[in-house]
Amino acid sequence: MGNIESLKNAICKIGCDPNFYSENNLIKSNIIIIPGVGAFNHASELLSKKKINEKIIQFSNDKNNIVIGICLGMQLLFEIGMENGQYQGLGLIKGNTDILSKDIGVRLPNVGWLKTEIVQIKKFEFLSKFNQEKFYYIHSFKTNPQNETERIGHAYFNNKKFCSIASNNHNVIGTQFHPEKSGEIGLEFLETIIKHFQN
Amino acid sequence: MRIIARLDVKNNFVIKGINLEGLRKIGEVKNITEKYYKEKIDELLIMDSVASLYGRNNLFDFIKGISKEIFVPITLGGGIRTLFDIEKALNSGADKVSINSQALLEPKFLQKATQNFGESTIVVSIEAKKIAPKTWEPYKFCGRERTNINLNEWLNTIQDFGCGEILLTSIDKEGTEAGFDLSLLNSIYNKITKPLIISGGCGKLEDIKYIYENYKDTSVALASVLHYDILNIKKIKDLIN
Amino acid sequence: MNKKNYSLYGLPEEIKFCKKCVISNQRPNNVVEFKSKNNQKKGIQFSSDDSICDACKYNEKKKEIDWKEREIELIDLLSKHKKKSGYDCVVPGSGGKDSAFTAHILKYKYGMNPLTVTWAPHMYTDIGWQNFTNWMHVGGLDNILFTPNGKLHRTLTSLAFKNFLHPFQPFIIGQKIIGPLFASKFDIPLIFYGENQAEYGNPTDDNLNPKMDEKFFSKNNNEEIVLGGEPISKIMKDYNYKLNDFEPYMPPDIDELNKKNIEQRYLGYYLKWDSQECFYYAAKHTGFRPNSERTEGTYSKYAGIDDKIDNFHYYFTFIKFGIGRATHDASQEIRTDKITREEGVNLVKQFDAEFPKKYFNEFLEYVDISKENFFETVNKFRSPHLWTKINGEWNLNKKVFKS
Repeated sequence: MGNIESLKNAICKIGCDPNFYSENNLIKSNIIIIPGVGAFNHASELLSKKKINEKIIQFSNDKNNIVIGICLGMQLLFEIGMENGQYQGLGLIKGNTDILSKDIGVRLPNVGWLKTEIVQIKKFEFLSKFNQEKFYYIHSFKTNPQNETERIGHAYFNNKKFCSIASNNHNVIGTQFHPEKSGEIGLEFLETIIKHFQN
Repeated sequence: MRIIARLDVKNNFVIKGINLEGLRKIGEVKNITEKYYKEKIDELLIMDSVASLYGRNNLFDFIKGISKEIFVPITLGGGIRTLFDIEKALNSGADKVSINSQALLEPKFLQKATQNFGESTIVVSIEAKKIAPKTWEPYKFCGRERTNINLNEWLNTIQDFGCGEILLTSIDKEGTEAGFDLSLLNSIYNKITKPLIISGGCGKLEDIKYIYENYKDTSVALASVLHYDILNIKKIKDLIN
Repeated sequence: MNKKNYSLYGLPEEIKFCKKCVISNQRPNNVVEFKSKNNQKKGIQFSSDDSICDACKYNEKKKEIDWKEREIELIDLLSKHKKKSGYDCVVPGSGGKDSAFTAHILKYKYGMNPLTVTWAPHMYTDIGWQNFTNWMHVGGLDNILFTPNGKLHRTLTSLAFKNFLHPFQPFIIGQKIIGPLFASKFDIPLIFYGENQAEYGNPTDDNLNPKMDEKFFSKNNNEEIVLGGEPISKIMKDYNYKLNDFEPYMPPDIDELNKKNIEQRYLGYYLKWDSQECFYYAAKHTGFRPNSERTEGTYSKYAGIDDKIDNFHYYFTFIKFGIGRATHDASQEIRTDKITREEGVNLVKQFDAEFPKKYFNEFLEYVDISKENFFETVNKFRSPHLWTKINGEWNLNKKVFKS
């Protein structure tokens, strides 16, 4: 679903060698990136129909593997999605997803570059250099991590805070924004995460 | 507010007209795209300016190439007629597509497009011409032919059928550098429920400042001021930060 | 089948298209509007080996011109005429992009003091009137608008339509006269036009000599002058006019013009002409705006937009020569590198045959003819070497595009 060319181009640009995965391949690396543009319900159905969801969960059980979710991909990491009904996510991070804002007069999707705050905690110190940087967002839904410690970053929409980076504090991390569309700082962000987890 | 560069392209050249007329060449599209990216433009709007006239969009190859080097959102427009065109555009590396003439021909196409590709992928482009006091009409085919549709009704239609963003160009102001079409913006602002991008007429920093202060959640698409080096992307971004 | 018709225009029987632009060899040259009763014209010259038209050949030659030298020639010429008070040149035009450019640049770049003169369109469009007044009020120029007696002008236009399918003949005559007329009346010896006629495929010997052809201004007996295909004496009798009603169509005497040393020049000889760039210039300097819709029969919005019946002129050249406005515009834009030949062909295919329906009723009323008689007249002028009727529909025998 959606544009995965950009993500592939971005990964190539930072010097890695990406492969696309579909239900028939074997995962050959220790990093999976789940991109996504589109609707949660649609993606959820696809993942379960093709049994990709099981493979990802299995993959994440090995703590040497990393799962990175971007935008819809981040939302899928959670347990439940509320778009067009209630749908199952991968459950790798506790919590659900719901509509970004119900305020009157607000225009969705939220599209644009937003200053993103990174919570200053030890485990994610390697990301602190991106604190207050602007990244590109385009989404109508947000994630609600159950555990406070799993909210790594946030931004503001219509003066209300929403979670923009979440992690299960082990090997699963998701960003609401698109690092592959956030210019040079986005590329640097991707590179930082990938290189960090590669070690 | 996003600062978006609008590039109207013909035969690998960025061109710039006035009131959507004229094919004056500005420079090679690749060079100009790279320049704006380096200067940290927020987004790129790349329009095949004569696709409707000649019945084809031929920027897919260009997008394929440029998306290997450019990592900001790219919207591709011009001659997007079928779901297959949208797919081709996205596969080339475009993040969004802009649809105008096909929506006018068949509004239901927007429904199919948003269902298949997600709402946030679909930008509906409107080229509006003032036809009577406080009355505008969306035009088709590069702002060349009437549709006899009322703009307000058209806005309702497209928002009903489905769109992620609305790109509204003022034919009367575009290329004139005489300021954005504030009376047009004013007249439709409260009828818009989707993110709005206005295009056409920017001539100086104050024009952008005014939009930022009065219509904060509206983005601007700039062409003449960037192509003719009248304004500098850094200065604009400093202004709104 | 009667194959004689094509000789009405003296056009070549074999239809050929220029390999560089999209014009065909069926284009007639501009000849003396007054003299011939049969309106005999010849086809555009293509060299038999090249298949490249005169205008494109001239366009190639243009690339070798030293424009700096030409500009020096211009400045030289202007310095001989420049006056501190009073007008020093006449610029005939309508305030369209080409004349807007010509008059404005002569005044504001080259320091001349032009008097613009306009022969009124048959029926002003709103955009035409707006651009015309902007020419003066935004551009900052003086103008004399000459409006001929509408009753007579209509009669002549109607006759020209019926006799030649060329309703603009009286208008073109008036346009050609007005410059020298006012130049003579005001004793301004220099007249400047914009584009050189050779741009449109006329004999190239005009290009090397910046003065206009004086053939247009010689005449003998006034009553012998033929307008709309009929001698003035006949029109006077049939429609109850006096000789001096025809004053606007009387060319000034050539001897008079010579005595006053009146000369006509093309700015296009001195400056590298790009009609589209004239649009940008006029939009910036003289308040020129394109029309809101594209002109019928072509793709652009900025040419021929001031007269409601302008589109009929081009529709009729399409009927008579198979050359419509889109062919004309596309050829010009190919030569100035705005579009490729392939794009030009596509545009001709889409727009050349378009019927100008917007002001059809106005036209019928203007020339005082019914719809049926209109089409009857039009069809009389379809030369069989160009047109064939297939299943009740008229088809061009040869087109620049593949059907």
